[in-house]
Amino acid sequence: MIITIRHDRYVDFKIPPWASEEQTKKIIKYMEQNFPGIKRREVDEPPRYTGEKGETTSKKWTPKDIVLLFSDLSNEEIANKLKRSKASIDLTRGAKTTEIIAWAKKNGKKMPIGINTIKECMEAKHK
Amino acid sequence: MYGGETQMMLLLGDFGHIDFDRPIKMNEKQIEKFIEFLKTVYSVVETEQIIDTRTDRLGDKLFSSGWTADEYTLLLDTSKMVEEISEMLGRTYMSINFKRGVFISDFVVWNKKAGNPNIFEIKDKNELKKFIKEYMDENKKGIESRRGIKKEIKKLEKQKENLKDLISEGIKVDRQKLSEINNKIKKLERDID
Repeated sequence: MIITIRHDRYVDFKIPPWASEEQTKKIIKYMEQNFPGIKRREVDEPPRYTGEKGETTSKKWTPKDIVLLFSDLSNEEIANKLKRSKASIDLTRGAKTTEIIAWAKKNGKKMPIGINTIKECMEAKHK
Repeated sequence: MYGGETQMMLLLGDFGHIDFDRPIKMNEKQIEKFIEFLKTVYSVVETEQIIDTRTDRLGDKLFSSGWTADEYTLLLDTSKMVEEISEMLGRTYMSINFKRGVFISDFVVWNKKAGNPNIFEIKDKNELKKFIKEYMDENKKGIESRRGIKKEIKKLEKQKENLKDLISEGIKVDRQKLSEINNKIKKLERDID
């Protein structure tokens, strides 16, 4: 999060930050206490890109697929190998790799992550 | 802009973003206090001195901004789940999820090429941040260089068009020059790839 400050001390968010419900409450409370008279206004945000039609049919991720996420291949190369869209790799790679690494660390598994660890992790998560 | 006399408005978006309807005038103490407060809400809070203030406000458009080295470092922290990082950075779940995937891919490939250790095995956060900064610098240079090449291609395309115009008007031109320009353009396009 970046706060911008102009030379004459006008302060702003560089871009509007996202806040959880709890954080929003905290920010509202702070602003109302420190800037009396501040009002709230609810705003409709522009819709976000949620993918093309047809992109949402989910193809199951197998350990063989997932092991590729740990390789040094680019997302584009993995997408070609797995015949999935690049967006699906973009969205899955971060979540799956970090989830499995966190599990592997917690369970004392060896690094780098191999297919057996992935299988074990998937089994443990589905128990 | 607020000078203290007009009513301030805190904008609350339906997707969970927050904004002011205009920048807020603060004194030094208020600025300091505001930043300290934000640090209790978010993990990475940086300041930037600016000349022009933002005119678009929440609701006007979708906003996006670059990622800092500290933010990238957090993305690589495997002990943190996406929801947690989302709250820590003030970015949506979707943007963290997406960026994590894209960044990890790019960074893993870059890191291997640079001969650095496996990113997930680096325990020292400062070392990791150093590599991230190198990666960001290189990316920036790459973007600038591609921008320069594109400019050069545009210039050559214009020269090519001019020569073609002359040919179509029946004016004698050095055809060798046209072929040289074509070769230069092809070479530059390969450089971009």
